[in-house]
Amino acid sequence: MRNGWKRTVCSVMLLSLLCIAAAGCGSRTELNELSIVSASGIDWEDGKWVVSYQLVLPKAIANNTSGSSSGAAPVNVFSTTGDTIRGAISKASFEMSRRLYFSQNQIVVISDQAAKHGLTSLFDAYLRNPDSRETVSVFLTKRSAREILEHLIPLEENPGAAIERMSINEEKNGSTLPHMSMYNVLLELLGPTKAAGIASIEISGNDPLDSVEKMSKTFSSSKIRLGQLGVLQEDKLAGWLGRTDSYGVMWIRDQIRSSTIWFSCGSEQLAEQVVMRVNRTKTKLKAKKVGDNWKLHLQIRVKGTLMEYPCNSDLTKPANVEKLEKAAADKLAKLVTDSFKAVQGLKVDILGFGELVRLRYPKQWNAMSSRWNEQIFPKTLIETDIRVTIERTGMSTDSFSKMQSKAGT
Amino acid sequence: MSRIGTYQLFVMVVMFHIGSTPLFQLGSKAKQDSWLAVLLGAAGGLLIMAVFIKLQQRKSDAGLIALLQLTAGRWGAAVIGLLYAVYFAYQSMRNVRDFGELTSLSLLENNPKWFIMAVILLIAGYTVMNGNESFFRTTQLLFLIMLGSYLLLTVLIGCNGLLQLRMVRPVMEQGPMSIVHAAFPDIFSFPFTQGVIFLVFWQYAENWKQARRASYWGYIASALFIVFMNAMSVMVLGPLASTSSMPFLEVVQLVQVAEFIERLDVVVTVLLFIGLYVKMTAFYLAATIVLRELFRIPVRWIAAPVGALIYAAAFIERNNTVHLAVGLGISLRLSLVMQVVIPILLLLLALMRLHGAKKPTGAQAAAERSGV
Amino acid sequence: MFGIGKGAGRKDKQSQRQSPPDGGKSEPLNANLAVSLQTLRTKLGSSGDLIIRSLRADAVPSVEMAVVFIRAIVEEDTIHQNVIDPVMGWSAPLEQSTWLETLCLRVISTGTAKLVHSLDDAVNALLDGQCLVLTDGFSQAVAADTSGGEMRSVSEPNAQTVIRGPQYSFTENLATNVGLLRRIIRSADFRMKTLIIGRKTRTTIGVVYMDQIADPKVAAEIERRIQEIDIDGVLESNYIEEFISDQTFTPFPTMMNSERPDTVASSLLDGQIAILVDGTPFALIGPATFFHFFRSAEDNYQRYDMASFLRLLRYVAFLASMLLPSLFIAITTFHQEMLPTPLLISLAAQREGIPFPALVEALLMEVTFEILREAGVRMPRAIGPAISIVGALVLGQSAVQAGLVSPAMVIVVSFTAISNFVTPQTTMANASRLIRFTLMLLAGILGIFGIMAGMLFLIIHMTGLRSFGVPYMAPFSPVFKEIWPDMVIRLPWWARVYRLLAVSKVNPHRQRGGRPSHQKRR
Repeated sequence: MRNGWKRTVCSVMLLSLLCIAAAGCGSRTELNELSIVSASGIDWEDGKWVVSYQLVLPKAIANNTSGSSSGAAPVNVFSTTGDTIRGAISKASFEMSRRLYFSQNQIVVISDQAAKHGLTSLFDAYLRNPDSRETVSVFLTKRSAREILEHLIPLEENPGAAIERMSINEEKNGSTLPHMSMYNVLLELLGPTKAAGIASIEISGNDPLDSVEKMSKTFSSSKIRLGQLGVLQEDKLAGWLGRTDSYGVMWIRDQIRSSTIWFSCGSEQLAEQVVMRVNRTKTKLKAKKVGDNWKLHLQIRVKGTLMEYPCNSDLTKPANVEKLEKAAADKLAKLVTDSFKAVQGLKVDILGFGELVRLRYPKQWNAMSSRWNEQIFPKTLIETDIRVTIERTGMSTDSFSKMQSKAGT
Repeated sequence: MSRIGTYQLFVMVVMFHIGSTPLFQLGSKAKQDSWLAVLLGAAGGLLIMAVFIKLQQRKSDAGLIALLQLTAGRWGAAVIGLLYAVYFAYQSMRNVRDFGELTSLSLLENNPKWFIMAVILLIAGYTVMNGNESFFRTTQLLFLIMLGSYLLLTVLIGCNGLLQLRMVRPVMEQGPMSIVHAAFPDIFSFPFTQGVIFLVFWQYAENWKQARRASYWGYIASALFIVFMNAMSVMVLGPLASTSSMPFLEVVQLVQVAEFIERLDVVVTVLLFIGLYVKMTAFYLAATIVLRELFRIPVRWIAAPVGALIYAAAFIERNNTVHLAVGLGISLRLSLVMQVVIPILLLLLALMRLHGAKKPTGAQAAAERSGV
Repeated sequence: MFGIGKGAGRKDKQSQRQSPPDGGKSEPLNANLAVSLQTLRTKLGSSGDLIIRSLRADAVPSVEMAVVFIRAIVEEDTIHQNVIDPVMGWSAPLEQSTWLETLCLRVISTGTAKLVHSLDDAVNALLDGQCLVLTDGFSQAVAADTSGGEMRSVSEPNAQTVIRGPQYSFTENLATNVGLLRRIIRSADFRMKTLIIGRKTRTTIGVVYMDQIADPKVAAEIERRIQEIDIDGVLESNYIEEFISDQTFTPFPTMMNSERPDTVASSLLDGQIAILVDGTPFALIGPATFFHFFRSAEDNYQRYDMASFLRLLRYVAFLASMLLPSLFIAITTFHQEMLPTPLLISLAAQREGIPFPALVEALLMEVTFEILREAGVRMPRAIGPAISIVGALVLGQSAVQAGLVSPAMVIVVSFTAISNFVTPQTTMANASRLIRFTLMLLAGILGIFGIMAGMLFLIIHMTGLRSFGVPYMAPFSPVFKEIWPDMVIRLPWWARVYRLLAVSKVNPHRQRGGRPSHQKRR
């Protein structure tokens, strides 16, 4: 009797164990059931969202002994339309034999049409879904996002990752345009001034590189390059800033890592300019109340090395170096002031000025935060205190032209 | 049930209070001052911890029922003890449900929740069957893993330059009252006064004096850690911290080092797993021990029914929103009563008895005491 | 000679195990020589190697005597020189009443000589390799210890080799083994208790420990457990191990084994207890905690920095051999976001066209490797190298090229298999093999959650295990702060103050400790 009872219990448990094994297979996806999206694009056409995907073809990319490059392009692009962004993505199953896998998505390209329409749904989708990463890089573009995705990049296999690397590289070495990840954008847009600046990508040239045959030449007929700075206000595109102005904005926001600036030799008006590489720089901002108005006090300390020097003064004398430093500081001051005015012209505060005011004068900020961008910010003033130190003059002291003139005698 | 060493008790106090707390954002009502709210809640909890210790002090090798009997008499102890057993089982159920919800959200989206909860409950059941020795030793080993993981994550987050001090400023922008509102009663009852559970475990301590010190230090260590984690979440996420359902997961998702260490979600998942497991099994074990003291049945017979009850109860709430709403509503009030009000009442009763007993002379006092 | 039983209640089993203690139950030898010899012959089934040599002593030529022995298990030279010769040549006068005593004490010159009274004792003595001297007219015989015969001599160890260190191993003879141990530990505290277990094999088992160092309670417990074994035959130490282990339903071993005398000696000095079984060179060592299984004899023979590095490597390799296939399956099937993009693309490219899901692929490769490994053990030496060629080329390379498995999976499986060999104790390595399969299944069903659940289950199980009363996960839980550094890395010799089993609190200090005087800084 007892044995029978025990046996029944054991067999029931065994059966349920097997059922459990079957129930567990819900989240499994084999690697060959996925299609890896490495870049995505958002467009807005005729009142509908157009989402484009750049899919990576692993066989064409990976180096393995048995496979060889089959001549196919490393990526494949297609788009879907829908009333909402996630709705558009779900329509991909009409065209795609595999599940779209967004976790390896490197960049998102947003066309200016979409940006002008408003990007709240995009940002909400990113925050709410677990498989979209907030570390994707965000770019704007004046063309359609799909064209950018279709463009291949020579020397690189994964265009999405390549564009991201290009932007990071630019920020590190040239520091003209910031590299914004989705997380940065969201934080800026949730900040006190609800404004953010995003770099844009353009295609130079007329014949885009969208096939492998076009890449077989020694030069490329067109290239992807970084363009201007797009400025978002709340969630819509408010305007564009050129590269020079964007560069000034980077100076003000203390986002310069290393950069190159050029300025004239001081009193001599030569055709060539002095070029200096910025090694280290620190910007300190302070908000000051001046009567009813506000002033941004900017303190920049720059340390650099000379890279090109065409002038005739003797660099072994400190007085001459000081003159150069003053010239550099003047150039910088003009640059920064011009950018400040350009940003004021857009009536959007992406400089962090509002944040400063809020930190120092929280009660007054609460009163005027809604009027800051439109009314108060365009009237504000700027005051600069820039000091440049040329740490080293490079490996030679006299300029080449001077050496030539010396050698002639 | 075997003795527990001092170090094991310390580890248990730390692990229990930390639990899965760093994964949520406590005190989000106070926005960027949430870490101050947590600090305040922790300070309040320290006082209540002292109440617990004073209660246990009266008879340091007594279990919960015996301690209650000292103050409330036999029948009172039975009723309150039963209430506590049910309450512990309920808390265990909440943790099981938490586990299922969070795993469904982050790890295994398509798996049925009942399955995940069944797996973790089976493991907890196995632990309870093996006795408290096994549980405390396992927690010791898990403590090392948890410490290592949190350290690694903190270092990576720091290296990545994600911390921005300006997110915490301006401090006290909304005034101190918002901090107080956020701290009481929310943070106060979860997780800082849940140490009531140790009234069940302290009876097994090897050395009561050292165990007392270990409990205080464990509490302080875990409180500081939680404050630190809270502050770190705010420093990285800023205003996003209060809207995200799992802020620490978001923080870890942002870590990118050397281009190949990225997407470290799984480390967070391990931590969540361990934290919830420790809390859930602690409550389950406490319920079992209290029932054993009440009805004098060996643990093996109680563990299975209690486990089944917990599992069944985990399905009562319909979806995650209901689960969270109950947590902030009824469960909060219940916790306040069980964790704060009843122990304080008991202590007051005990103190009154002590003072009252000093006045009458010997025989009357003896009669009173034996009548208790 | 016989161990101490537990008490009156266990008498029944006991009496069947050992030779009957009271002569009442078994028959005595017959005083008539011919009858006795016939009885002996019948008892042993007229075995062809039973030699009966009749002789007469010089002193009493009229009395018939016989020397009986079983040929193959005796040292015939000893019988010739120490038994037959002296008996034959004994010419001093003697009386009947003291004949047997004289034989024992003055004539027979072997190491042991005693009287046997009953038939069973006589037969057992014959089977033990002793020779009987029977005299007509006496119902008792003299048994002289002349055991010997062809045995394997002391040679190099097969299973546990070291590069630097002693190069000899135990043999199948218990006496030789104890001798090897005694040559290392020349202390009066060396204790050996002998037990005889097994109804038909009557195997001698020696329980060896150091008196002032090992816990006497543990030694007594081990003896008690061995006494309880009631079995037909004990052929190898594993028979004993399975009987006396604390828990059967666990993949983890609770006793170590070793065929090297130096390993056993160092364990004895640590407070552990060794069990030597006649007939096998592998000795058992207990109690053993989890971390003991990662120590190898060679650790002490190399410098501490190298030994520490290798020991840490062993822990990593153990984890790898348990977890690597399951982690691979879990990450590539459930959590692809964890992989860096180039790696993911490479793996995805490899998996195109593979017909099996990752779990099935992994199981296939693992089972194939286990089959190869098992075949390698049974392979005759002449064909041995062929197996490695078959395994590597045919199965591995061709399977990849045929598109049946992906190269990454082959790498994972091979690496796992190789890390399996790093664990010094094979019993622990086998545990990881078994656990690996379970974890693979769990990973295939539930991903990383499954692996974590499985590992948690294992940890709970391990913390509940005990090895003869010592918690399995000591010194980490419960924490013994003096010992755990020595378990993780190998401390330099001057720092190894505590014996590793200090949990027993008997004589925990090995040495005074502290740096040698010439190494101290000035």
